[in-house]
Amino acid sequence: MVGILIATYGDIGRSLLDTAIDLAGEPAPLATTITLNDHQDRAQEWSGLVAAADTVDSGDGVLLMVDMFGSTSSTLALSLLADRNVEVLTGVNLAMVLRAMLNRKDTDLKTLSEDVLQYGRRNVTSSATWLKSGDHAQGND
Amino acid sequence: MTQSRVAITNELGLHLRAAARLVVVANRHKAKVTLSANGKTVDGKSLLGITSLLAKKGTVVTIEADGEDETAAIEALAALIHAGFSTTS
Repeated sequence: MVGILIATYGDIGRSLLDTAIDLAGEPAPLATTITLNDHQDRAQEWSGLVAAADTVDSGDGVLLMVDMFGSTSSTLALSLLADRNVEVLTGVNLAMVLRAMLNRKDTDLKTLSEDVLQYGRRNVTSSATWLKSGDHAQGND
Repeated sequence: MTQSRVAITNELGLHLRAAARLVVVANRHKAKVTLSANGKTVDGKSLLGITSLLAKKGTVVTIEADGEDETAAIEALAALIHAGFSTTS
């Protein structure tokens, strides 16, 4: 099963994962979060990120979701790509975390990453859009 | 194909938490699952689909499952709805 790692400033990642677990009503194995603030020692942050990724990697790789492109987390995350089986997505939101948790059982890392990316994008919308006859109203997913 | 009609009993209807729990239970089964209410039919393993049913308390939802474990899927999903989504077992 693909592991889930959320890396963010502050407690955003922890809150997203805790909320997704609460909503799903079941524990999420191979999922964790890490806080990477830019006032920390960079070497320490790097080793913390590597350790967190290894914790959730059972051999199927890790979907690493970070807060924003350009953040400390995203910068460090990109370095992970070199020597680990990791896919990185930026702009993590609750829909992405839930989707990753619910859809990762029988899929590979690349497929899951693309699916979560599309799902996350589709969940960033406006009421003016989804109250019309958009995808939400159609029940598409 | 197996079918069951169940009334939503919890106060908030098929909101996000309820939908997430339905998906969790539906995903435990191989059968294709659909939910129908308010004139619309959606994938029972789709979070967006289920929430888009806009099913409130009292709405009768038709659950259909098609596949080798369809009976078990229907029973588990109906039990979850009857329990007001308070459990995923």
